[in-house]
Amino acid sequence: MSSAAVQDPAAEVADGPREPWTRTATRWVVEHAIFAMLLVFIVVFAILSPVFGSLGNAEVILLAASTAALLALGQTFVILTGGIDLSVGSVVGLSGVVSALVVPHGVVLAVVCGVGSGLLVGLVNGTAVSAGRVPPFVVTLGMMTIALGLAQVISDGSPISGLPDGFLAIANNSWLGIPIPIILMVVAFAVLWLVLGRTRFGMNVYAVGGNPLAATIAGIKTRRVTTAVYCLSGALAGIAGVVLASRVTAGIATTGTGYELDSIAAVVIGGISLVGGRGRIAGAMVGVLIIETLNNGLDILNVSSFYQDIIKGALIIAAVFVDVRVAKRDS
Amino acid sequence: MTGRRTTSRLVAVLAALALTLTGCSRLSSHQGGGAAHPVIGFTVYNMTSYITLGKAGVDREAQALGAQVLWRTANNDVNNQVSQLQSFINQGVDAIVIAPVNAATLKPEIEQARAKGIPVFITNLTLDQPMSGMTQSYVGADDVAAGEQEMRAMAQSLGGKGNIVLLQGPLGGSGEIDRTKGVLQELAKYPGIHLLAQQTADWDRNEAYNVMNNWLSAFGTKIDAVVSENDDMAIGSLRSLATRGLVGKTKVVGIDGLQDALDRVRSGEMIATNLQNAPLQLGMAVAVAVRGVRGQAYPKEALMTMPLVTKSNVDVIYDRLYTHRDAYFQTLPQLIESNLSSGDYGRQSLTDPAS
Repeated sequence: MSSAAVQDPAAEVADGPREPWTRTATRWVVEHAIFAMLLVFIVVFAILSPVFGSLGNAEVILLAASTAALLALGQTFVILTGGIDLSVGSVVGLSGVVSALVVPHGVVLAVVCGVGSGLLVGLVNGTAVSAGRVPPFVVTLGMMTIALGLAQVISDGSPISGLPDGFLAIANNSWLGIPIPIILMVVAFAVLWLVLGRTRFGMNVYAVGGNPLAATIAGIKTRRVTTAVYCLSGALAGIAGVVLASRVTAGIATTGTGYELDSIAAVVIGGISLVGGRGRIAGAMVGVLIIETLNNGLDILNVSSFYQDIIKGALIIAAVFVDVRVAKRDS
Repeated sequence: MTGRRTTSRLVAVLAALALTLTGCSRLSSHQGGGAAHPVIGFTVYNMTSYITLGKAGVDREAQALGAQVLWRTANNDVNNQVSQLQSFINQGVDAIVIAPVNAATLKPEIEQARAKGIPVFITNLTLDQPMSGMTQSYVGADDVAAGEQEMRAMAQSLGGKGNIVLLQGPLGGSGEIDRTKGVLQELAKYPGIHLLAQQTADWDRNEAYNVMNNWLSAFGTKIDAVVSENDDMAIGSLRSLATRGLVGKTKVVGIDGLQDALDRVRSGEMIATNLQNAPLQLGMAVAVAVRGVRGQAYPKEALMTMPLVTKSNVDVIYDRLYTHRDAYFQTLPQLIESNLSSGDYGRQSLTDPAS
């Protein structure tokens, strides 16, 4: 494809469908820059600190990434449709509190109710956006405070602790030597990667975000797709809430406060366009790994948390800067 | 097509990550520096103005004792604090000091640390049982005594009669529970003083401003005094009183001894505050942890009484903590050693008489 462009430079001048290989190459590099960036961070941190490179530390990073990834994966689907889900952080708290309250009646029931509470919030979000025609930002912003308020009400504002060992095992036990939250993250990524890249639903998600009108004309049930992505995001946040309640050994209403912004940051760093229709799920995954690698590596190097905030903010802006340029070339 | 390419790239990256990590794992074993130069992992709930002030004391004390402090802030997120503890355990620090985000958490991490032989110390805020029983020591303020002390100061200022309102910290936190307990315990001794209302303003200036506005609408000038469980809320209530011209008429008392509050005690806007000396407290937590690593004696609980700051002693305290801070910090390690030996943990200066 690129060789044809080299042989026929006139095609570019004539505004043809082909672009010169230099441009293709540049775009390829830009699109894959985050993968290289993650690698560079890992290598640099490993050189600067022997502690960073230990297997135990890799586990620490992946454990921190596990719940952040669940949120970012759900956020990816929502943002690909051109929406946004600001309620996921509060859902984490709500689901954690619900599961902690239900757990005396059984661990399985607690998990089901925790995840179910997230799914329910997602269903309300999705319905309000698709059927109610309320902008996603507004719906999920409202839901963010509703879910937090609900969690505070049912927990009476105090942590629900004294959880049984069976529940605590979710986040603190391993299977084949790998901690369960990391397994959950990998499985969720694999399944959702398949769903997005290999199913009709996945194609529809891109179509709805790329051009909703065209999608409707093409016979895609856009409302159903929209509702479904919010349900997915809510359910994944519900899972993250259960894992976190198990991890911190208590259901706490405020546990997920601010996580919605972390998930959006990961998605943006991963090169997924905030206007929808463009981006890859692997990007969001790498976005999460970059954030957690930075958190961990900068901590190990004893960099002040104030500087860490500046570095992370700059990274987000840089990622969008690149994204805007890629989008401009594409259009 | 691009999806597949991306995935193969991701696989390559993860493979490289795994290789890098396993390749380096042999280099890192135990990072702790042993008894001579102990490495102390210190995780705090958030960089509040109080903790930021205290960190200077931590750095000074660590320097004096030849210890290295790995400082982490959890941004009020338990999940962050859990990760930070896992990281400390993984790198094999010599001791861990925690200012906990939430009293009901951290059991698995404290168990892991103990299993690895890393002693855990708590400071500033407490942990519930069974976690606190699994830790070595607690260094912090006596919040019950502080509540009693601020209520006593206010009762005396009111001459034993009048109406008060109480601004509380976030409900359920150890600071709020203990300070409220102290205030109510002391209040019971004054039958002439009535509690009109009590509410949380979450340690926050703006929330206290709003709550106070509501109370002024409800009770007006019937309110003779505001008892606040920290200085930030006391200052917030003063902003509200100012809009009605009540500053100086309605009496206000707080806890913490923030710079802003000391200014207001000096100007008479607040009748008093209680000094929670952050550098002394967090610095002592480091000293206790180092003693633990070195096998020296340390207290199971170092409860510090907060001195009452009124117009009569505010200048001395302001000068010590803010104007000539460097000089105070020079003597801080010596003061901490002296307090740990005498058991008078809250003594503020080597020149002060023992309390």
